[in-house]
Formats: sequence, C-alpha cells, structure tokens
Amino acid sequence: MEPVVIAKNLTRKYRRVTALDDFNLTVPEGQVLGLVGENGAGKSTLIQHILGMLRAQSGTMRVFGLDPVQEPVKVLSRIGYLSENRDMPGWMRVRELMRYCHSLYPGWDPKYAEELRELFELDPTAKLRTLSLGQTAKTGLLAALAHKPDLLVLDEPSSGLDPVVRRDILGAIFRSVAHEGRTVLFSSHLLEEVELVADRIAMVHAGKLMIHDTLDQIKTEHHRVTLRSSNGQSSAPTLPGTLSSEQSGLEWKVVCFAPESELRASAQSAGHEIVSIERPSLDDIFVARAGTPINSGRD
Amino acid sequence: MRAFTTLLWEQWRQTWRGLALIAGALFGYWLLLILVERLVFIIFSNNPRIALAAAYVPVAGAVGLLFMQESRSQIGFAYPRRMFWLPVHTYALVGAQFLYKIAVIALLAAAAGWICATEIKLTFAIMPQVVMFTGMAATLLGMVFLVCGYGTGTGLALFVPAAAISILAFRYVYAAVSHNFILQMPPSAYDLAQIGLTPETGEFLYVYPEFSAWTWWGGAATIVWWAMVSYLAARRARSEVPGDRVGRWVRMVSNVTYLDRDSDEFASPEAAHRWFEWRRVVYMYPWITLALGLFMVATLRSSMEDEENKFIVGFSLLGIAPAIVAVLIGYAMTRPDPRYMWFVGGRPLTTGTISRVRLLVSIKAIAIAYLLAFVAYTGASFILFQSTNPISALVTDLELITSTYGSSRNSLVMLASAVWIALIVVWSMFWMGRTAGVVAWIAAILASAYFYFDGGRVYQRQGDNIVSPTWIAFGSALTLLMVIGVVAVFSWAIYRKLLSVKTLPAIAIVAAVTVWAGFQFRDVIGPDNMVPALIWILVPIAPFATVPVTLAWQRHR
Repeated sequence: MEPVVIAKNLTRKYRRVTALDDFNLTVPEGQVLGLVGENGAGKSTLIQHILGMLRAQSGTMRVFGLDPVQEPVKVLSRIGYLSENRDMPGWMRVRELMRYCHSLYPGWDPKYAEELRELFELDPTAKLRTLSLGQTAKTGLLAALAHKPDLLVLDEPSSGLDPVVRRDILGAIFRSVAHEGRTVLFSSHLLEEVELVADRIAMVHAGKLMIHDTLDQIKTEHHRVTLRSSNGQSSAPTLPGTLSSEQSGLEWKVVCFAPESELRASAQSAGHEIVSIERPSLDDIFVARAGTPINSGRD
Repeated sequence: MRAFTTLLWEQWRQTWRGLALIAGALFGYWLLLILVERLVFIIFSNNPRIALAAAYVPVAGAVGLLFMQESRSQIGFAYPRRMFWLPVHTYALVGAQFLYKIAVIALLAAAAGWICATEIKLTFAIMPQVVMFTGMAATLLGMVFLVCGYGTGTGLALFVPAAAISILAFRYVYAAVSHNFILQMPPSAYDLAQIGLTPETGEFLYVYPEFSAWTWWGGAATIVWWAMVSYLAARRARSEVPGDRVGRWVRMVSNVTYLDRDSDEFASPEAAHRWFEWRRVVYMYPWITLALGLFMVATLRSSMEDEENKFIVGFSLLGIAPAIVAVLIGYAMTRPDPRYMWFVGGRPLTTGTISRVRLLVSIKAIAIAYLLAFVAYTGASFILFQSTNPISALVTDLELITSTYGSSRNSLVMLASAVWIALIVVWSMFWMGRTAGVVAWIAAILASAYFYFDGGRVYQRQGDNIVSPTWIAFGSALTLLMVIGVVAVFSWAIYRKLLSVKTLPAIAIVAAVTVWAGFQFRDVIGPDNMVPALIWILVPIAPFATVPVTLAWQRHR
C-alpha cells in the first residue's frame, strides 16, 4: 500500500526561523497519526505543505503520490481539513457552507452532512460569525468530514470543543474514519487525547521529527526508572539511553530509551537500587526528548 | 462617566496606531508642500494641473494608509465582543463609538481640507468644484472603515451619513479657513488662462461654498439615521431585542442587494465559487457605486449652468463613481487575507479557476453597476432637467468634451468609444488596489507624471504644445520597461499554466478595441499626450495575467 503522505527532506524557513528542518515523515494508509509538538514546532507548517499552501523550498512533499501545489484539485478533493483558527467566512450561513462544499467535493454525502449537523446541533440559518468557538469548530469538522475524505487533516481539532464532544464525538469520528480504511492526521497539545485515539505518533520539536512510531512501540521502548543511590550520589546516574534525569531527595527519576533488562543490569552494576520501572506518559517522553514541556514555545 | 471613558479608550486603543500614521503622513505632506512652495514656487503658481493633482494627494494618501492599516488589522472600529457585555447602557455603548467615529471622520476630512485650503490656494481660489471632489474623496475615508466588514444594507446605511458628515466638516473648515486666513495672493493671469477663465487680477476669485438649509437638515437627518442604525445593531448584538425582528429586515435588505438567486445546488465547482466570490464582497460594488454617484449628483450647484450640471450628473454616475468604488472593491477582493487563503486555498479548485472566477464576477459587477447607474442617470436627467432622452444628453456631453459636432454616426461612434473607455478604466481600477495592479499602477503613475509634469521647469514650446524633453525620455524608458514587464508576466502565467494560450486572441481584441476607442479621442488627447494614452492599452490587459500570478503567489507561498 502506498503511503498517503510522504515528506522527504522537507525544509521551510521564514526568514531566519527554520520551521521545518530536513523533515522526513511517511503516513501509512488507514492510520490515525497524532502530530504532537510545542507551539512553533512546525506542525502547522507541515499541514500547510500537505494542503499545498506552502511550496517546498527544498525537499519534496507528496500526498497520494502527487505534488499538492501542482495538482491541487486531485489532492484536495480527497482531503478534509480543519485549520487551527477555524478560518471560515463569517458572512456565510451554515446551510450555505454545506451547499458550497457539496458542489466542490464529488464525494459529499448530503445525508451524512445533515446527520453531522444534527449531531453537532448547528442551526442551518446561523451566520458563521455569530457562532461560538465550539460551534465554529463543529461547523469546520462538518465541512471536513461530510465528503468522507481519504485523508482527514485536523489542526488542533479539540481547541474550543467542550470535554464531552472532545472525548466522545471526536474519538468516535476518528475511529469510524480509520475503521473505513481512511487516514487521519491531527495535531494536538493534549497528549492524553492523542494517547486515546492515535495509532501512531509523530513528535515534532524545533522543525525536526523526534519520534515517529506506533503508540505501543513508543511506550514499550521508553521507561521511567526511579533509583535510589546507596552512596548518596549527587550526580545523575548513568543508564543506557538516558534522555532526562531529575533528583528528588535521595531518589533519581530517569527517563530512558532502552530495554528494561538492560536498564536493570546497568543499575545493578552501578550499585543503584531500583525503586520502580514504569511506562512513562507521552508527556514525560516529550519533555525528556525535547527538554521542554509541550505547552511551551512561541505562539 | 467612567464607563463612557472606558469605551472611548477602547476605541482609541484599537485605532490610535493607524490614525497616528495617517496624521503623521498628512503632517509630512503639509511640510512637503511648504518646502516645495518656498523652494520651487514656480510649479504651483504656473501649473494648475499640478495644483489639481496635489489637492487629491492628501485624501488619496490617507485612504491608502487606512487600507493598509485595516489590512493589517491595526485599525478597527468594531467593539470586541467582550465589550457588549459590559454593565453599561446601550446608549453609552453606541454613543461612545458614534462620537468617536464622527470625530475621526471630521478630523481627517478637516485636516485634508485644511491642507488643501491653506497650501493649494490657487486651486481652491479658482476652481470651487475641486472642493467638491476632494471633499467627496475625503468622505471615502469614512466609507473605507465603515463599510469594510459590513453587508451592503448596513454598509450603505453607515456610509451615506458618514459621507454627509465628512463633506460638511470639509466644507466648514474650507469656508472658515479660506475666509479668514488665505487668498493673500490672487492667481496670475497665466494660471487662469490655462483653465480658460478670465483673469481678474487683484481681486479674490474664490467661490464661497453654498450652505443651503437642506444641506444642514439633510446632514442632521442622516446623523439621526446613523445613530438609529447603530443603536439597533448594538441592541441586537446584546440580545436586547429578538433576533428575528431586526434579522427579518436585514435578511430582506440583503436578499435584494445580493442580486443573485439562492439555489439548492450549483451546476459546477466553478459556479459555486462564482457565488462565493460574489457574495463575499463583489456584490457591494454596484450598490456603493450607485450611492456614491447619487451623492455626487446631490452636490450639484444651482449657480452653475444647466449644461454644466448635466455634465456633472453623467460624469459622476457613469465616470467617477464606478472608478473610485472599483478600487475599493478590487482591494477587498484581492487582499492576501490568511483566513480566505485557509478557506479557499485548501479547496479543490485550481488557481486558474479562482482567478477566472474573480475576473468574471468583476465583469458582472461592472455590467450591473452601469445598468443601475444608467437608470439613475436617466431618472436624474428627467427630474432635474426634464431631459427625456438621456442618450442625446450623453452625446451632447461628449460633443462638449471633444469639441466635435458632426453627424449622428460620428456621435454614436464617440459614444461607443467613451463607453468602452469608461468600462476599461473601471475594469483596470478593480485591479489597482493590490499587487495584481502593479503594472497598472506603473502605467498610471507614468501617464500621470507625463501629463502633469510636461510643463515643468524645463520645457520647450512647439506651437501650441508644451514638450518636455526630460519627460519624453523618462516616459520612453519607463514605457519600454513596462512593456517588458507585461510580456514577462504573461509568459510566466502561460508557462505555469495559469493562463491559457487560447485566451490571448480575446486579450488582443480587448487591446485592439481600446486602441480604436482611444483613437476616436485623438484630438482631445493631443499629440504630445499620445504616449501615456497608449500606455493605458496595457493597463486593462494586465489583470488577465497578473491576477492569476498574484493569486498563485498568495496561495502557494
């Protein structure tokens, strides 16, 4: 099966700032890929390349095997997207938006669109500028979903949605889209949410891809080890694949990228007492890898 | 009182940067005029064309700056949503905004008027109609920030009173300043001869602006109307009135002003996008043109001859108003708005399709605007002058302009040429607001420079004509550069498949008809102005390539 998205050595610079730096990513078909990273990491820039709104300065971007800048109709008719700022014309009414999109997308399903509208409790006569943040996000989702796109690209889809919609509806949509063999690529700050719905995770930091793997694989390969040093050691213990370490009283908490057996052997030989070995959260892994919490960074 | 001050502060906070920039530019322009007047006085005293052009600069500059500020979201008079929930009475909410807007419009118009009145004495002293035109241009200031972002119904309701307030402020300052401080030096005989007036050396030669009773009552009525509209809008925003009551009226007005029908589905993606571009902003063009044209007609002066007034009616409705509004709408239509790019740029439409749609809806808007304007022209001619045949009145105007009195065939040819040129100028103006109009702007600047400076400091007299070797040299060089630029842009558009080769014959026909129409006015243009006139042939064809090229650049950065 040909991957849906292939970014190869993609670099994007905005004057002195490098938004994407020799970036490589392959998104297989039928997967839900969560794109995580702090603000300014390059997530939106990647999404803009996928939609053909940015031309590759160097490297290549292929979506369904095509260049989205050269073949916008062939590529974009198979993509449903929601932008981070929910950019929609305020003068339009919900009903007009549905009518407009219906004509643009060959696969638009009016029945499904109406179902979504009812599910989201949207007034068809309401102007988009009068909608609340959450309603605007729902309207954007409706426009992105109703043509049953092969690739659903959502930039911070949870933003503005209340917890119930976020957990139940969004999750259900993702599962249903993936179940039908279609692909979802979404960016998010909310790592718990990503853990709930994503099959694969791509962590982006400072324009580079730090990790890209299945959630299970990432969790299996990373460990959070709590050690107690018998000799009251003040410097950080050296364990294989150490990504970060933090002292708390006599204990050290170390996030490592190594098999558990190797970690145990190494700790034993160094004379450390292992208090616990746990699976770290995605947040722990991100902080350990990037050296910065995910909610930091420039906006 | 505290709440009221807070509201005023909010307005100031949202607008001060943009307004400061405009004020600074006006101040700079005033300083420049003083310097120029002191150092090279000969230009102002000996060339009325420059003075005339200079009268437009402050207002045109201020409008341009407002455009930029609005485009960068650094200026905006609408309250943020949170302000609607402040514990203040709706009267205070609306009153603060209302007073602030009136003050801004009046100050900007007054500043522009004061500069014109004090520093471009000659122009105002002998050509009172200039006051009308510059005042009208000043009202556009109000229009820009009041209309942008509103629907036609609301926009027009706000624009007309803003225009009235602005013109009143302008006229008042003009009258006060000119009466008390200026006109120390009467115009020279040479200046007057240039525009065909009899010199009366030693006497003040300005015409005091008319302030009839209806002007004041009309102004007061429009202010009340504007206040009512604003009050109702604020009450609606605060949910103080049922949405349906006001909404029903808004929908009724909107449905009429859209000038297209709603249907359940579109024939094609292109048809859907035509609807989108039309509803987004272009549908406003015919209505604003009509409003502006009628506003200009309303400023007719009873002291002028009927023939002159008839000419102003035709010129305002069919000439000036469509051209001015085209710039505004063209700007709003083509500005690189990130929100638009996210919404439309990510849709399955080619850049060529979006460009074609933009060009087509512009043609539709021009056609409807002229239809409306012609109906208004016929009505105005009938009511004001009991003229039952507007076509013959137009022909008479053309005969006056061209000084050609010939057969009816000749008249019809001249009429057709004039209509074509008017359409072409309006078409060009659509694309002058943005980067897509770069070539057009170069042509315009070039033509204007040639036109206005041909009697500059270095010139030779050849018979009745004044020829400036400097400007001929500049003109030739820049013309060549512009032709190269146009060819390059066309080549690029064709190479990137943004423009079909098949459209080239159509573009050639447009150019040929323009040459033919221009040729009919060869006697008016004059032999020494043929170069800038010919340059205008490039202007209307430039959008065919520059619109898709610019859009491609905006869409795929």
